[in-house]
Amino acid sequence: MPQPFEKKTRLHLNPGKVLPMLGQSLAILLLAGALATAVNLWRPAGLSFHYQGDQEPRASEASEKSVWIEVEAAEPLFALKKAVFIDARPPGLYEQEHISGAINLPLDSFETSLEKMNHKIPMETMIIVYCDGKASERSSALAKALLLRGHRNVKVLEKGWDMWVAQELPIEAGHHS
Amino acid sequence: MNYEGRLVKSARVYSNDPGGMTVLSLRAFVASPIFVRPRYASFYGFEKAEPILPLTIEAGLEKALSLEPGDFSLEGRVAYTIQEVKKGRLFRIVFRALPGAPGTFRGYLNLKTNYPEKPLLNIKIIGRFIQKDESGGG
Repeated sequence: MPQPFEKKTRLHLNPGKVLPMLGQSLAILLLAGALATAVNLWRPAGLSFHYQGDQEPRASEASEKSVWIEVEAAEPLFALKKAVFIDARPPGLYEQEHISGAINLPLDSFETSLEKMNHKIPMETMIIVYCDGKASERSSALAKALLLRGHRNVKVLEKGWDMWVAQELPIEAGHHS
Repeated sequence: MNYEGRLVKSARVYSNDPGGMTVLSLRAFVASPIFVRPRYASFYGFEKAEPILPLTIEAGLEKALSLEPGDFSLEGRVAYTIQEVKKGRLFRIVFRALPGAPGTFRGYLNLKTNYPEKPLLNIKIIGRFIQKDESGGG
């Protein structure tokens, strides 16, 4: 009868081997930190490195505040032109169809477009951000970024574009003039 | 109506076969013969306003497309014109809401095409008109 394979190992702390291991672990940690910093800098809605004081809402506050708005609540704001709608989807999708009058501010090119937009939209104006509606990740990230940059009334359209179209609310194609 | 792209559908088939469950899958590329953008015409405005709403219809196949007006259910509420922007390729339908009382209306415009793949285009038209004083004077 063959015996099951069994092997007992004993840990020997050899300083000649432990020190290089510690060095390697430290190098891996530093590399991970550098990589995370680089990714954060590259992301359009990356986290800020500076504390911006109590006047500016932080990303965590933005997520805690009720930023969601249902289509039923957004519709009268649209009808009475009391809100600016921002489409966070890529330009190709925006050009095919978008909410009538919406501005395209794709999350990927957020930084470059935002400066132009900031001049057009006062900080207290109601902004409703939307994307395709499945997880609303793009619109949530864009809403947080707008709040961080000082816009005070930013909402995310719940279920976004999909729900707007399901309700057959006004849409248009091409560029918004 | 406008979807074009890859399509994958699959179904799991359970049986008493010793092999157990089988997955049947279908992969296809869907080509749209005609693109209508936006997919419906939805007006929103104040009473007595005459908003206009353009729609583009683009041929998705190589052969020239021709359009012919069919049934229209909103006579007296909405007017429309058909313009051929690029012969056989691109058309522009301009809807214009006629001044009327506040309220909601819903209807359609059917366009007959020469494409056997899509002989009829049904364009939904929705209108929502509100009283001016609802806006607080705006």
